[in-house]
Parts: sequence; C-alpha cells; structure tokens
Amino acid sequence: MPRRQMLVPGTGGVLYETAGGASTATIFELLTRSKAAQELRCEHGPDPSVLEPLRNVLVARGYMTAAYEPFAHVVPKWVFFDYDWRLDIRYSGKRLAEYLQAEAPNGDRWRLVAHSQGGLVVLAAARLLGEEVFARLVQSVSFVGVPFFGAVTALSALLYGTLLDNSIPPDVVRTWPSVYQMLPRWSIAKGNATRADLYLDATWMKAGLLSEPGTPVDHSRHIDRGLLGRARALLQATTTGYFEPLRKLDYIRIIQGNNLDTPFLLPQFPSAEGTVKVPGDSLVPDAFTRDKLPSWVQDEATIRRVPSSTHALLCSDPLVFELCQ
Amino acid sequence: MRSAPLPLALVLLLASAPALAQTPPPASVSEPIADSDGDGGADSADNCPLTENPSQQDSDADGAGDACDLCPLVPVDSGEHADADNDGVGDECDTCRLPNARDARGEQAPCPEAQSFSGWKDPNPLGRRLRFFIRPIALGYRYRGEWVGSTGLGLHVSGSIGEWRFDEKGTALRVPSWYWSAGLYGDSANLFAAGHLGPYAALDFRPLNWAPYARSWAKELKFGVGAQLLWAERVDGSLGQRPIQLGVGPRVGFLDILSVMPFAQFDLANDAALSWGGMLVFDFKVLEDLGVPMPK
Repeated sequence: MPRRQMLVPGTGGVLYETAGGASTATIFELLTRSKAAQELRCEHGPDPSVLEPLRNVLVARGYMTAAYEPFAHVVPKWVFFDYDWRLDIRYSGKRLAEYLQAEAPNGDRWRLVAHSQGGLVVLAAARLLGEEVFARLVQSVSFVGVPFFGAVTALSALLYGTLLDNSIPPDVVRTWPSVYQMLPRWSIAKGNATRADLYLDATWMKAGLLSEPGTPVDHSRHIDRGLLGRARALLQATTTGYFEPLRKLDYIRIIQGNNLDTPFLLPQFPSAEGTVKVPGDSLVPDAFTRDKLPSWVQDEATIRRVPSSTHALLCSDPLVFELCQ
Repeated sequence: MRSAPLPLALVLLLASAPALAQTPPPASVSEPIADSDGDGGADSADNCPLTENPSQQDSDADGAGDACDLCPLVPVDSGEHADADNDGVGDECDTCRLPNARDARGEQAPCPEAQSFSGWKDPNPLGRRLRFFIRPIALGYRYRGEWVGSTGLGLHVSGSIGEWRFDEKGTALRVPSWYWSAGLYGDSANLFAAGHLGPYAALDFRPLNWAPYARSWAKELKFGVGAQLLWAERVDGSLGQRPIQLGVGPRVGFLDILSVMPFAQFDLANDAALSWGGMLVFDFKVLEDLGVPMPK
C-alpha cells in the first residue's frame, strides 16, 4: 500500500473556478473582476444545522502554488484537498470526511498536513468520523499555524473587510460563515481572556453592528445573525473534548510561528485603536494558543515553534516542510 | 394685535409640554433584547449566555450557571475554572488530569491510562536500531610488491549514537545522525585455516536532521571511517612473523547495502610496514530493532 499524504490548505490558499469555468484564480484576484461582489457572496439558510450553502457560484479547484511551494514538488506527490474556505467549516469537514472514506480502499492511511483553517476542517472531519474511524483512515496530522481558538484577523475581516493584507467589501465578507467561525474565542476587550464575548449577540448589538431580531439584514451595516449562530454552534461543539477525536492517531504535530506581531486585543472594540499585539505568526497568537491546548497535547514532541515567515507563507518554509514530512 | 399669535403659541406650547414629557416611548422603539442562546434571558443577565438554561440554576452561587460551570459545586472567584485536559470538568473538581468527561448522570468515567506522544523511551542503551548483518566482503591490497586478495564473510552488529524520540506507536520523531558497527571477518569457514581473520569497526554519519540532506536522494548515502585489524595471509616467506594488518580509511555507503572503503594499513607484526588497498562490502540485514515495536 503506498503511503499517502494530503495537504488541507488554509484561508485564501485555494483557487476558484468561476461560473464560466475558463480559468482559476484566488478569491482576492476574483475581487478585481466585474460583478465580483455578486459572485463572491454566499447565501445560507436560517437553520444552522443545515451545512450546505443555498447559493454559491464558485467551485474550488486547485491551490496557491506560492503558499505551498515545497509540498508541490515532492515525491510521492501530495494530494491537495480543494474546498471552499468561505463556507461553514463543518460543511468542509463533512466533505473531507466523505473524501477520506471514499479513498480508503485505494491506499494506506493518510498523513495529513493542515494549514490554518485547514486544521479546523480536519478537526471537523474527525468529529464527524469519531476517533476509531478517523484513526483507521488517518495516520497522523501536522497542524501548521492553525487558529484553534480563533484569530483577531477574522474580527478585522468582519469589521473592516481586511483579510490577509487584502481588502474585501464588508458586505461580501460578512456572508462567509467560516470567518465568523474563526472569531477569537477569548474576550478581545479585556485582559481576562476567558469569555467568548464575540459569540454573543449582545456584544455586536451594543456596537451597532447587529440588527434587531427579525429585521432584514443589510450586510453593509451589519453582520449576519444567522452566521453568528453558526459560529456559536461550532463553538458549542468544540468547547470540550476539542482534540479527543485525534487521540488514536499515531501522532500529531502542532507547528506555530512565534516571531511576528499578532493582534490579540482590541480594547476599544469595535474600534481598532490601541490594538494590543503578542508574538505569533501574524495571525495565530503563539503562547495563548499553546496554553489553551489540552494537557495531553502539551508535549515537547508535539508542539514545535518555528521562527518563520508570515502566517500565509508558513507552509513555504523549508523548516516547516521538514517537520511535516 | 400683530404680536398676539406669539404669546398664544407660547401658551399652547407650555401647556402641552408636561404632557409630551410624560408620554411613554412607542413600543416599536423599545430596547432590543439580545439572547444568544434563546433561553429567554437577555445576554447581559444570563448566567450562561451561550448555553440554554431557562432555570438559571447556580448551585455554588459563583455567577456561572450550572449548565456552563465546569465545577457547579465549587465557587470560582472570577473568570472560569481551568480545565487543563479539556474534558469539560474543571481542574478543581476533576478526578483525573487526563480526559474523562461526565456522563449523562454527571459522573466521571474512570481515569484513563496515562499516555503521551513522546512518553515512549528507547529501552536499548546501544541505540534502537540495533541490527545484525551478514556482510560479504572482498578486499585487496598491495603489500611488498604483490597483490593480496581475500573474499569472505563478516558478521556484525550495528546501532546508533544519539537520542531517538518516538510517539507511542514507535514512529520516529527524532532520528540521530551517527551510527556505529562492529564485527568479525574471516575468509574461511574454518577460522584456524583463515588467510584473513579479525575484527573490524566503522563509524558512519547521516545528517538526517539536516533538511536539504533528508529531502534528497543523498539521504540514502552514509559517510564515515572504518578500521580493521586482520591476522593476514603470509605473502613473503622471509617474514619472521605472520602479518597483523591494521587498516584505516574513509568509507561511503549506499542504502545500507553496499559500501566502499579505500584504506592504508600497517603491518604491526613487521615494523609497521605500510601497504594500501580497498574493500567492497555488501550488507545483508538479518535482524533489526530487537525488543522494540517496529515503526509504522
């Protein structure tokens, strides 16, 4: 049985085929085209347990070579899991779980490398499959720069439309459920980082960014109440036993950058004035993320800290590639 | 008369002012209630704003409702109870520091056996990769104006120098770079009739923690030094003592199967006479990783 290795890319690392199907491009390239705002919006129903989008004209097809350079040039060839990173993370996890099961007869267990949001997708797939089945399909997972407990970048995307140094119209990004699901799970306005305040309706309503219940949503002024509900659903499902579905794997690795400034608190929420920064990879706060991991994962051999490039380019770092091998 | 309308308007305004001030705001502009968990309690007053708990029961009166309190019977001063193993039971009331969640009745499962991804230690002080080889060897050297050749078998053991780290299933997480081997060579099944007989040893280097090396085909190569001490064949009848050749030289190996070693050697029994030659070595692994689980 051949050894199989798969990379699950992160936010922004996937290419899309437009309705015409002629070419592929990143979401940020698609934004420059005419009618982009229409094409890039997602539409979801009110029931947070229905994972599939009601409307989505794009199809994920390929990955950003620059972000995953070393993985694209190794033998045996790596498989890349194409998924639409804008959609509900639970939906992407379901698709990954289905793929792993469908491919099970064709080779040995997978070694997975999950970058950024890809790690949350892997965890979602593992929760769906359960620890026994997941360990039968997957040998190991290397998590590279995964925002297990959220990232202030997701908050900035919802507030201002800035995501990974790109500008996206807020009325577009506020229709992407995965961004809500990556909101910080800590209080971004206080030193005491134990409350997931951003998952409360009250926090957003007080800031004037959430409309009253039952009123129509204007995404240019407000975030989406239904999508915040989806974020809560994922939060509730992962508050305890977050890593339990991985316990029967041969091993896991958690690789984090720790030498860049990473936004951590916005004491003036919703204003970004006086943003407090901590060491990280520019998106994932290193020490905070490590400290929140369960004790059985807090292990020298499991958690590796690397001085690295920015979050988006973590996987193009040769040292990271070596650790993932 | 022209000024009459103003006092009249003023009177009307003053008369209506108290009535306006006492008018309650219309129902449509009442403060909207944020209730994230939909249990009927506003977020600001809910003791579990993300967990549905209509009863708001709080047994330890610490401000966190039982439905979201990791230790419902142990008050916490501020924030939340720490939960190091993330099993939903706070450290202050957890029966175990490994995950053992509460069941539907609120009782914790028995403490699971301790395990750690790097808790598995190498039980073999000589190195985990303790292996036995049968090694066919062909050697030749130029000594006192004549070529001397020998083909025979070596039997040797090899291991590693340095730290190995494994996960619980035996998968190597850290691999050392130095490897040793030592054995005995003879070119006859009857050792007393052997033309060449004696011990040999080698020290090899494989920088497996160096990314460019570990990622290329070069990782199949090893570089090192070898030495042998052979009770050697007599090639010159005038020699007083049967030669004892001490040879040393660099070696290059490929795939743990084949290695080549040029050497210089000194006849310790006859005035350390210098000679030179080379050997070709094939390695056939017989046993490997004794007493430890095989990596997956």
